Amino acid sequence: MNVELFAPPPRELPASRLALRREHLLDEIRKTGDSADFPVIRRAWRLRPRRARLGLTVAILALLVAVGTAVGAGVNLLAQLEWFEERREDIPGEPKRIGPLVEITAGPGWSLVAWRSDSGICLDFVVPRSSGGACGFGVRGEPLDAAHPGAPSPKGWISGAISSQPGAATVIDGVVAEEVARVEVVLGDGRILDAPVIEAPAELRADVDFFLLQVPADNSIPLPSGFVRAFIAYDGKGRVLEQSEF
Amino acid sequence: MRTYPGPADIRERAMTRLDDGDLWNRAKRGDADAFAALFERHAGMVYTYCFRRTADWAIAEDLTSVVFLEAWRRRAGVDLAAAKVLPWLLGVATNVLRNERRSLRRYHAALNRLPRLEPERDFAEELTERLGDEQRMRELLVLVGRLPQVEQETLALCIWEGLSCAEAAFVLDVPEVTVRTRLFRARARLRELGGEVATGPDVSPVEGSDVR
Repeated sequence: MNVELFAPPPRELPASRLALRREHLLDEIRKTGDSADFPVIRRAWRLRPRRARLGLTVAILALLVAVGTAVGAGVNLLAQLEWFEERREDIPGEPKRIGPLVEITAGPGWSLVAWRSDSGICLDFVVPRSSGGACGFGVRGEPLDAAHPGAPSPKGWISGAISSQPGAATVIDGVVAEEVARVEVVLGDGRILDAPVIEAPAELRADVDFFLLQVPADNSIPLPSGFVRAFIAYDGKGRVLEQSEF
Repeated sequence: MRTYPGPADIRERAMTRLDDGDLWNRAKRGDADAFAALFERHAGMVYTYCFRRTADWAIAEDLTSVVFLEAWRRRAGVDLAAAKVLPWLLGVATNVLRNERRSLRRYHAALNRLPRLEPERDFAEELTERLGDEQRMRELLVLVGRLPQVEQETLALCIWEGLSCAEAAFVLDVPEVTVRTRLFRARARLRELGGEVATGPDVSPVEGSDVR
């Protein structure tokens, strides 16, 4: 044992299997062409990673509570987000807002709000005293990045993300190209859910649409990494435009 | 009759003359052949590392594929000098091993597309050898598994794979002093557990070192 501990058995890959694996690797990576975006994991939160998103949510919550703003039942969620965004805009590196906050859809105690920024479309899911969001989804039709002229046009068909708070429904939202007619969300446990596609209001002035799902809290699927397996975008004829693994 | 290399063969041969840094830069630009050349060079080392960490040759083989698929996916944002390519791949392998089940699940579809290979000659003998290796490796892992995860990783990289402390520090993204301290502690713990230090780099702890 003593000697073996520092010289464990080597296990060389037989030449035939090495060749097989090599060909398999080539097949797989050639499917992706010259793109570095191997279709396994797409980070939807390009500018704000999900953990930053959660951190942001906590920060907003703390900030709002600290200053004692009068938010609660019946609060104007759009005004709440506006209040926060005015304070966030001075933070170095954060996207600069262009145009108004536009409510995409809303329900009792929540609102999905989008806005244009110098880094593309931003999407926030807002609840009383809290919100979480992301910018720059990389979906075609998304306004070009004014802060980085010459950047390649976005080419994705769909990009989404999830967020959650203890005891609350898990929110799955995102941006799709206008050509996308239907969205399916594949959960980590294998369930496939239809996510309604919501047209962007004209005042947003962006050629993209949105999707939103709220899944009741379920502790059987780990959050956030294992909750969603993939987003699938279909066109009007039912053809898959993109399957974006999450 | 003499055969002459076709364009593909010539390209393949040309790849063998490039160093890892050149191959990596080509791979970054989307050159699949360059990436395949890196695979040929380093798959064995990655496979051995994965096998020694899992004691399962079949899983190690799948994990090797996953490591290179993951490396391909991440290549755009990674600049590597020639000497750093293998350590970086081992770093990817370390991350893949930390989340073994999740990694395999992510690439489940890709791995399912792998053609099945018919058994070759004397398969029974090879199988016996492999099972023997697995058994020996499992016994080692029982002992090593009593160390903290970070010390297991350091031990595997420095002692089993022969990386220098500086290379292991790059793989694990920690200061070199942290590697030295982890290695020292791992060896001390193994002595207490009944293992004897036979080989490996001579390391000593550094006062005030930060162990992460």
